[in-house]
Amino acid sequence: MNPARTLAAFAAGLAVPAALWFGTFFAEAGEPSSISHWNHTIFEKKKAISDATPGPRLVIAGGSGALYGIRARDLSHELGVPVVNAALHAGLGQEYYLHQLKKLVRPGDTIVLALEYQMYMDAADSSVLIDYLVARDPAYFAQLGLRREVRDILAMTPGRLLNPFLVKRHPVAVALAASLNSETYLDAHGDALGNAAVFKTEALRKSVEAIHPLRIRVDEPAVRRLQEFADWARANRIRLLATHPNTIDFPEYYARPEIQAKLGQVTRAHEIAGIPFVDGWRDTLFETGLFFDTVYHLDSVGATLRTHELAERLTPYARAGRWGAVSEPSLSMHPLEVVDRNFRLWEPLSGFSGVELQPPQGVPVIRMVGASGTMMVHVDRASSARLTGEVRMERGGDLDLVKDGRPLVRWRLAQSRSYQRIDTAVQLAPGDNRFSLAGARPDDTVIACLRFDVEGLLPPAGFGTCEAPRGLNAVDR
Amino acid sequence: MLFNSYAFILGFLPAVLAGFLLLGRIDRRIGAAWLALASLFFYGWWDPRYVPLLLGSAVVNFLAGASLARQASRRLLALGISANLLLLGFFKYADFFVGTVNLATGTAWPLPGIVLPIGISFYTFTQIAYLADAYRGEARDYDFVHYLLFVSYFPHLIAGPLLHHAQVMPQFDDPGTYRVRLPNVNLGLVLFGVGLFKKTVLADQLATIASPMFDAAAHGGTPTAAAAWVGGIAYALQIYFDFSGYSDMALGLSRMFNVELPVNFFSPYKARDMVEFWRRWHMTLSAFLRDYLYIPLGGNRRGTGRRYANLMVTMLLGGLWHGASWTFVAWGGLHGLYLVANHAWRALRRRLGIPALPAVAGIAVTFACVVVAWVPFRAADFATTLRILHGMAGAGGSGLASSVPALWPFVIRADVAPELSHGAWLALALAVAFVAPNIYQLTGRRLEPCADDRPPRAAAWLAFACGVLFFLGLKALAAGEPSPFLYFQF
Repeated sequence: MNPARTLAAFAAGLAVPAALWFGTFFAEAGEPSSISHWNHTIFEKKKAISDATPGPRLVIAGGSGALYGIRARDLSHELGVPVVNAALHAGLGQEYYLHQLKKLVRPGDTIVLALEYQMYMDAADSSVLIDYLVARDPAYFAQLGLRREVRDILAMTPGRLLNPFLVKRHPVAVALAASLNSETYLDAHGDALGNAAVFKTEALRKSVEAIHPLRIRVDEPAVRRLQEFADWARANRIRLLATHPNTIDFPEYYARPEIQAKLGQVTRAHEIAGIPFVDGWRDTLFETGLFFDTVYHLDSVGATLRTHELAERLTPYARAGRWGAVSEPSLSMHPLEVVDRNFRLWEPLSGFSGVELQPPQGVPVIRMVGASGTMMVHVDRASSARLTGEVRMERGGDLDLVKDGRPLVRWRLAQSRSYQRIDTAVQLAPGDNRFSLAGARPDDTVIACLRFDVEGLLPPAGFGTCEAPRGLNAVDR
Repeated sequence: MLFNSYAFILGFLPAVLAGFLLLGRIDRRIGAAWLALASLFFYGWWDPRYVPLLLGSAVVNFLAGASLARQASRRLLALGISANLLLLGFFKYADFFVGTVNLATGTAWPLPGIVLPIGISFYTFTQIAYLADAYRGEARDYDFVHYLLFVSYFPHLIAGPLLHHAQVMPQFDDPGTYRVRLPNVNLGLVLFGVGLFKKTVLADQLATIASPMFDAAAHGGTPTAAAAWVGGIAYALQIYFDFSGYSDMALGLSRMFNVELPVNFFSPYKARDMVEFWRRWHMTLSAFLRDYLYIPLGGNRRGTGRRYANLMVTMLLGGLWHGASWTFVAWGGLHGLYLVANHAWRALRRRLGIPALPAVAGIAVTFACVVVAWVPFRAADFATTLRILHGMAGAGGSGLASSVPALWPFVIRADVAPELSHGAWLALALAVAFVAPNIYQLTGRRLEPCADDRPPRAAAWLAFACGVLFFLGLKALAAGEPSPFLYFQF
């Protein structure tokens, strides 16, 4: 056995996969990946929104906690100033996010920084950032420095490395990448509306309940970058404010001094950079039930609350500043807002697919996909409620309403392409009440509106009020 | 500094190896001194405050050992061992003792909160063995530089293998150690490549399967049976690949310096019973506990009852050595019970002429017992342990239906190329642990060395394969901060 040959074999074992890996990378660098599609489109849309909004504006900045949790539209309405939601994905990291943010603001603007706590850590580049830079911003990637570039290339997964080839062969893959995070769920202010409470399934609720308190760390490079950004903002006559990120309220934050010390470091980092906070870290903690799917993503109900509280804290700044003209509020709502209102208090558990925003009928609808769909409504005390809805079954048939396993009502729906009204009185017990809708042919059942009118629980009627019944044929049991 | 970091692999190791071979050509004592200094630097990378502690411990033990080698003194031996145990007790067990006293008496003495110097359990035990051997006349009056190198030698300093002075001191004395030996470099690279792959690819991936279950249980949830067993098995595999990966890397590194360290793992999950398991798992600790605790306690020489009691004491203390917590004691106690049951079963089988279990059944039963014992070892506290054990028994439901998707071989997403699923990672890890030959077998070693064994060698095809594994290990390191080895905490 020749030792030199063995050593050469080891070196070859190291070199061959390395050559394959880097060769593949250079063959596809700069090619769009489906993974980066959402981030890319979101940024482009926000750039267009920002360009079209007259200044000076209030600009909401941060990761997806602000993207989903702060509603620029509501904020603009409450404060009477133009507001743009410029939040992107926190996975882009503080350094690159602030780099992108500079493209979305103008002199005279006021930025409200709502950076997630992870954006104060100096960690290795995330897979989100690497994917984005390699696919959409290779020029920025090329100036990271050799060490960081090599490390980032090695950090890519095989799936990511091969993704652009897959996208080329199957362009449809890009469209499939969109889910509840679809860029089509972005409204005219840059708010993401995919967190409508109506989409909060049981699986999502359980995943939120399993979330643990955040690990918070503030690293010196992140503090330095914040300082540099503040210097840049001052040089460009841009005012900076900060709000703590909205996140789940855990008792550990109050009980553990070491966590409070870290939160104090976040505040100090902003003080050093001369950026005042409009709130304290306790002010942006919300109960678990208001979160959609992650530790930072509020649902639509939580976002409304968070926005209202932020508006109150920003009022003194809004009154004191000079602002651009606020565009006339549009009467047309984003289809998701319509859905959110139409299905308020309705928490789907299973059997329903996502929303169909622009169906031929022009009414946002939700489809039943299983043999039955189960939903839940939670009340604190025994109540009577009225269940109303607009349902279409193209081939007609029976639609049963079942409560906690017991049949309540059967509606006989006519064969029709138009929507038919369902309407019944139900009794709600304190706690969770589960209702199932089961159709004879569930695959063609489409629901345009479903409301539980519980005394005192619904917002004022307005958008999304169910239309007048057509072809109602209910058989009470 | 971690073996699984770019700073170590691309900076420290090449520089130290080159310096060692260059200086060793001039004078082997200078070469040894260089390696000892480099080892102290390696140790001080974490926290330089503890370098004087390590140095002080080495100096005191060297002087005590030298004195014992010249004149056996029971009093000096007792003093030396007590001093070592006091040092270990102060740094490792002070919080544990105070906490236990608080719990037992209802007092509220503040915990000292002493930071554990990394590797203290290993270098303390190593030196206790040295003192005992010096007292028995089995240790020579060594050169201090060699002794310091023996204690601080970086490949084994943090997490073993536990070294016996007789295994390495003669090698430090050998002029051939300070020459370039290509076969040793090859073997070292092969072992290091395999170890790096085990740690950064397998163990760190398995942690992502195991940790969520343990964390959820720590937050009050009772896992389903499927989740508890999948999490438990994932942790069993994680700690195996983590620790055996570290040991492979340690042996590989040392080989590059022409110093052969004892094998620490030999496919332990292929063991057909618990006795065999402990002959394959953390072999150097098993040998230490046997030679310096079990046998001095009387071993199996004083009747069956005493033998079982000795086994229990040895394993309970072995558990406590791993960590200052009652959950580690419980882990040791479980293994003590397993060993007692195993010996009793063997005796019964012999008496009644019952045939042995088929190998597959023996392996399965042994592995299941080991997985159950890992639960208190990994869990944050006893409440968590009980929740997981209840979950394993089905108190949280079977969970089979929800577990099936996680066991598909690939995560299929239309928009990205498929990635390996948790199920695939588990299957791969199980195959490596239960089916594949270990790297020592592949380089020509056996569990029980024989006189006619040839020196281990790496074939070209094996070197190529390990080069690929080395690349995959390096690649996995790029994805984030290197994660510390689990045994660093002990």
